[in-house]
Amino acid sequence: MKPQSDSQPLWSLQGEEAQWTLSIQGHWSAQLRNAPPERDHPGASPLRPPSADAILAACPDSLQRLTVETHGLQSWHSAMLPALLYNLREKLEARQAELVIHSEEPSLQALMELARPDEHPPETSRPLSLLEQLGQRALDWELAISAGALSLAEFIAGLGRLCVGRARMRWRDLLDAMSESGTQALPIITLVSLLVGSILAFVGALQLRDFGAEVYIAEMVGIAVAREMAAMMTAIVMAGRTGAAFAAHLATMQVNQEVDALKTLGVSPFDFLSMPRMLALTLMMPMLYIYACVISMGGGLLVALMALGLEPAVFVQRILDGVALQHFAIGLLKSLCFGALIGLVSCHVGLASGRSAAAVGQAATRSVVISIVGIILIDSLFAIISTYTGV
Amino acid sequence: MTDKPTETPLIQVRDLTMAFDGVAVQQDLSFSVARASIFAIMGPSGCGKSTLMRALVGLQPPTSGQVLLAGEDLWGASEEQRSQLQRQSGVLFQDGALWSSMTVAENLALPLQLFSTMSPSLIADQVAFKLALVGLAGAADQYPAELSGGMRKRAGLARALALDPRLLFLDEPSAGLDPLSARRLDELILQLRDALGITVVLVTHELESLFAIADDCLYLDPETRTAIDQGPPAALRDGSRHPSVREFLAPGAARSSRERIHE
Repeated sequence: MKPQSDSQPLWSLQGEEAQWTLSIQGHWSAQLRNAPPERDHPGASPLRPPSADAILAACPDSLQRLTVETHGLQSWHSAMLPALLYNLREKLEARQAELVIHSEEPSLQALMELARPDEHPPETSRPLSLLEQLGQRALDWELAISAGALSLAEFIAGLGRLCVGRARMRWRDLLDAMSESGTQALPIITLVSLLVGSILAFVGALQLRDFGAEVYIAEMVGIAVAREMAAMMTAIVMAGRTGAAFAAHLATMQVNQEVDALKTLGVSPFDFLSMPRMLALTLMMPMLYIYACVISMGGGLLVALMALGLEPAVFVQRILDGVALQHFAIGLLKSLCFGALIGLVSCHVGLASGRSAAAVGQAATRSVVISIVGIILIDSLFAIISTYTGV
Repeated sequence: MTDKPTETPLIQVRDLTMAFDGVAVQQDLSFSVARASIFAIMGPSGCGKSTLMRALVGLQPPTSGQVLLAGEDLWGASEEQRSQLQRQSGVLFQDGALWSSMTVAENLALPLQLFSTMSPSLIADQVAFKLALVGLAGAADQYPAELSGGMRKRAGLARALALDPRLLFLDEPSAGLDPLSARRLDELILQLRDALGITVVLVTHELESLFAIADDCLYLDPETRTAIDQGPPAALRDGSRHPSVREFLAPGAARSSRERIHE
């Protein structure tokens, strides 16, 4: 049980029945930070002083008193030795045995005196059972849904307050949010729309060519884009881009107590922080939709021109004739709903965030996930309604 | 207890200048910190204390000058050497800077898991001991968000001690602590110095703890943008050539300002 080298911590354990003696010798000054990682030096034998558990395991259960002798101790410039003694003391005390230290090291004694467990340890919560976790989840969901509904009601009430001019909102914030959720999103919306439009055209061209109906490519792309794709793709991009940014921003403000500072001023964080962002998203989304429609159709036009050799003028004319205004109206209405949804979700989730760095990440993730699921739900709702009403 | 405070000072700073956008925060700083001493950096708010600290711990490169840790140039070293040097010092940030997704015990264990060859049971011993040192033995399994500000600070100190550093940097250690906890922290710092031979560099405003623990201190002056005086706090208070230093350290400053207002 003894390491060999002199420059290492030496220890030996002897005794019988209830009385044991641990004698500590040699150098216990190994600095932890200098211990080289094992994988770097496979040959080196790293210093392995014993852990308290290892020593206690070597003693019989009937141990009543462990005496520590440090006569042969030469140096201990690290926390190795005090940590060992501290843990021995605590573990022995827990099993009604005692640790006696015979040492001429005053600072070792002093450190041992300093390291005392708290007199009133804080209560730690008991881990929940599986059933309890399930119940907790269900309750959390119920809470989240009712809080979301409240948030929606608050949004409508806030709009009312805004109309009568009683909401405390800075117009500057609205402009900032509009630029963030509008102009700054244009490059990515352009890219995504162009690609979606051309993908639709490519897929359609292959099928239509079999029937010799290539000219219908314009109507196909036009209707698909106006009714579904432009609104949906813009919303998904915005949920990932702006919605996540809003949620993370508000959650960070929550962590920094900026939200609390607003509340103590008597300013509703909802009016001041959420309102401009929701309004901006709700206003900008239809505009982005129109922009995305134009760009996607442009993408379709490019493909029609290059792959099918269709005249651009014919393509444009067929879109103007073939895509009824109602398709645009439905798309526009959808994008309005999507914008409101993303704004509502991201601000609500951001303000409801916890107060740690991890909570900020969770808020951003949750905002994106809920928004995207919501977008698809709303979209399918629209599909069902329009099928039944024949619009 | 064999190592004696020896020849080379643990920290030597030579002609250090730190500037932001060409505006110097502090210039031509030269000082040294003796081994196993408690060294305080003080000065009015905005004098560049924290910036100096960031240069000393390797977070922010100085514009010019050298920082030598035990004779090795911190900023002239390669990236790898620098991180090795950095691991020889422990840093307590102002609000603890605990990693919020880990429990207190995991916060302490992480440096040991990454940079030592200790077995899990030895790591557990170290974590338990260091938490007990700062009086947080019962809070091992709590998350930082569940702790009070003072507890977070003490947990941050325990984490700074995790790798048994020979150098400890403390940024405003007693700010925001109640007087009892602050005194306990001072006592702990003194004990750590005496028992483990740790050198402590601290940035502080608290005169009480400054006089209680500091062996040597450096006064950074915001006007001239350099260190205008260095010495033991009591000697500076009584005999500094600079009135601003004497005033900064004057006893009962709080009481006298109250009297001034009431006159």
